[in-house]
Amino acid sequence: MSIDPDVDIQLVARAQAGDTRAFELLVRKYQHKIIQLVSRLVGDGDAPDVAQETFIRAWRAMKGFQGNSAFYTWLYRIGINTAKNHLVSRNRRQGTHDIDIADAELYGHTEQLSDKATPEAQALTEEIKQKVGEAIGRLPPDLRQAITLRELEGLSYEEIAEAMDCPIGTVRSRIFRAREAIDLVLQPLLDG
Amino acid sequence: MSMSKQLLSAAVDAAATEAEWDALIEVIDKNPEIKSGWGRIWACRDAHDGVLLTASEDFCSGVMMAIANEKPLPSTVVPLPARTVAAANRSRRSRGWRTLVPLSAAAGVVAAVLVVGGLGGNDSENVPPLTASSAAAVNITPVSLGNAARPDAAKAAILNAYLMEHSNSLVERSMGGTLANARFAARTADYRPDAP
Repeated sequence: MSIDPDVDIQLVARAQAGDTRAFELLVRKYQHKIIQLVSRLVGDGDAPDVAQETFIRAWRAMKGFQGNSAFYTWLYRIGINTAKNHLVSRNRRQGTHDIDIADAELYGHTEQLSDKATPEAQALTEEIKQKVGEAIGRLPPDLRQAITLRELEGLSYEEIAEAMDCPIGTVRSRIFRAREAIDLVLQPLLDG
Repeated sequence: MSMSKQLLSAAVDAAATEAEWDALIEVIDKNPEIKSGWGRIWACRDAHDGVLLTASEDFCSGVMMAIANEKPLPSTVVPLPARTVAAANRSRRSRGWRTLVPLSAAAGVVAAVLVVGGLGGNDSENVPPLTASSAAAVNITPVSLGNAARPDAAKAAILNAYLMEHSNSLVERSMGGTLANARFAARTADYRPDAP
């Protein structure tokens, strides 16, 4: 649901033309996913640095991205490779044996390496889900239906318009108003 | 502000037009609140998908600061396949001193060829002469080296005798498990051990 290729296409095209503002939106969109991905490989301590390196590498290679895969798939590969390189250099510094590169990638897919999520991050994630659920529950029925069909069911505006028997412009407006209400509970959690 | 937030809401649902995207990116760049709103929407979606929210505001700032200091890259950069890069890295690491082995072998061959070439001298006569037509074909001008460039026969004979003596001496002292380079070179030149 949250990996929307159409959004990425818009931003990637602009980033490939050198627009750093568009790339920043991609960073903000995928930062949590990439940190979580690399933290499974390198641990929580090094994860932010490795994730930052991942985005910097992605920016450098941006013009080579040909759209044969989804942007996140491409970014995921860069993240895995950056984490593997980090592990190899870290192990070399510490004088331990190198990890098996293929195994590292396998672990990345199956999530068998360290997933030592901090209790704070887990608590924040759970709190957001709970508060958003409560905020949606307080919405007027038409807004609640629109945002539920969009965010939970993944329907497009056209499909929601058909389901709710209203114009697309109305759907757009209802979803916007629902998000405004939800954002009021998100702001203190995420920006506070 | 409200219009910008409407644009933002449509954009995250991939329901914005090209022009709206352009407008939104302009607004986001100037308005930190809209930019934060973009981040909150995706964070909310990530949380719903079970992704843990660990990135701070500094994270994105760090990335963008590093990118701002990057030099512009050539437009034709295409990332290599990961396996190709990994294989190349492994190969580069495992070479080490072994790269010297073929180099030393090549140096030995070159030395032998130089010695043989210097002693023989007759091979150049087997090469067809460079004619004006063949020179024109490769676009070069034929130059005559004259007798000065040819090895002197007397000098070659002296050198040949010296090399034979030297290599025989090595063999007698058991210092060469195999035929020495000089001996090999001399044998492959004009030396005839059974000749009177």
